[in-house]
Amino acid sequence: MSIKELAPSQKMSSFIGRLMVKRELMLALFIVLFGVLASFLSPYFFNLDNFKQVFIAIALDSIVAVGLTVILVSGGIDLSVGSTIGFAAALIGMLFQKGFPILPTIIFALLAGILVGLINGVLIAFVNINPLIMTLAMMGMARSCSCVISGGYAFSSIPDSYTAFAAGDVYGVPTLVIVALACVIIFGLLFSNNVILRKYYFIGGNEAAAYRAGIRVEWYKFAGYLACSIFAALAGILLVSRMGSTFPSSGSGTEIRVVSACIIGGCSLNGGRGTIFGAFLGMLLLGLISNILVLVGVSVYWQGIASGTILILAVLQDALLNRRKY
Amino acid sequence: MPEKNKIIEMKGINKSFGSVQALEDVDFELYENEVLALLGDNGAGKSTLIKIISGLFPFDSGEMWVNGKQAAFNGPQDAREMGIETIYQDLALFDNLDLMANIFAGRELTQKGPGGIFGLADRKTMLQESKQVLDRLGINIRDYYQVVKNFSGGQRQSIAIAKAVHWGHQIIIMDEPTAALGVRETEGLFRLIQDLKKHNITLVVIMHNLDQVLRIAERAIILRRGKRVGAVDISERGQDCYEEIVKLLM
Repeated sequence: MSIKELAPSQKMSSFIGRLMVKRELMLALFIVLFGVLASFLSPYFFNLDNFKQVFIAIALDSIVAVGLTVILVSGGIDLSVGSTIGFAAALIGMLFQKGFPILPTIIFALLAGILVGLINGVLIAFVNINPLIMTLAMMGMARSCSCVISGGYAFSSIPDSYTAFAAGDVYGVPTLVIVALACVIIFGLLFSNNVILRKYYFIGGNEAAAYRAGIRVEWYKFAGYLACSIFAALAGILLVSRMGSTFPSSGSGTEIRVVSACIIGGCSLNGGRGTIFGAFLGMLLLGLISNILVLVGVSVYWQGIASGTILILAVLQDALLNRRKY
Repeated sequence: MPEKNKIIEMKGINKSFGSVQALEDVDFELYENEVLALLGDNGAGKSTLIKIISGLFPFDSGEMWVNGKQAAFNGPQDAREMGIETIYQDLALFDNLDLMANIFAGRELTQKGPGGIFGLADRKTMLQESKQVLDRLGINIRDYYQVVKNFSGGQRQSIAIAKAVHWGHQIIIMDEPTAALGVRETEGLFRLIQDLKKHNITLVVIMHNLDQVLRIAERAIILRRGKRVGAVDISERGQDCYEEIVKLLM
């Protein structure tokens, strides 16, 4: 069958056209423009130390974004990442107070993440509970765990050798930034190109078709939630190292920031779209915006309005394109 | 009918969904290299039957042989491994991905050499093979990197067919393949079916249009309310069996 006529949208799809719709490129361009503008607004912006601060500020969220991108691409969502950070952090604080050595403490924190991921994964992938409901429940439960563990108090007896890790740097690059960039680059490259990890794009695009194509959808979803919680626990481990203390509320609000960043970076709540690099660029843009607001002396209370506006702008194009398509 | 190999044989297949018995004691046989039409009104159990053959559903009771060996598919990948491909009514495409990804869905090729260690997808070979199968089907695509969401209805159907032709080296099942096609495209599909038959592929088609069935099918199995009510040899009797098929269907 020879079908030569082209769909209307196909006619304008030149190579450049495709680049234009590439979200990562648009975002990178926007970040550069934003940077130029910000340099005019504040003399302190274009400065290596300032950039270092921005990257440190987004490092932990970026690690969480790696796992959350996988979930969003598969068509799910994980709201429990912030509480998982808190759970892991509280556990670390408690174990250090009881005199545990560093390595077992880290292992226990990772186990806390694995526990959260196992529960999320089993109930979402195999029992078929809606991921929004399940992780909303887990968000409360994991936060509750951190409160129970800490009795509502902060822990600050963190060994110096533990906090030294996050305070350190390699040739001037902070270790936190190295860990975050390593996660983003390694998993970013593999997620789009590795034939196993790419299956998340198939699942998010058309779950029924993915199953019919022989992809073991349940197992992939399960693994995704497990991985996402482990990344969150890793962020919790690093958070304690960076702060030198933990609070029952550690990590709260992370889920909002990271979901926003992923969506600004091109993910869709419908699944099948987005990349880890895009999510990182989204994170970077949000980081730069809060940075410039601080530098020009705007009250931090305005940050929610700024990041909210960016989030709306990010989805506006799609919303307008898909309007009235019934 | 000359003695032909049964490529699939099923005996006494039962399948129910809750209290609804979709298939009741159904026998099914598929001869090598034939074009079989599976007929029946809505709710007759045609789709359930082909989904069992595609490995989507397990059957409750009964027996199945594929290539003379007893078989029970444990998921769609088992059927696909035997070279059984199904083109579903909804096409089962991935709108968010490009043509290559759609044709190689679920079994993307891995690079040879260093990239293979990291399991990187071999987009180059997949593009070549996609072009080959599309050429063979006479399908003209201008932009191979476009996501398939942007393709027209006919092109989308072609992609689903191309995927089945690429992988289905034994049996291709088509669930209402002409439903969304125009006259010219339907003729193209019929030519394709003849061509596939020449390439030693066995075909199962579900169709509602009896004129079309009589044109392309050699044999028909008729289901009614989950039971097999008869089989008609079309290749021997041609147009004469129209009345008989209608009677069996009603």
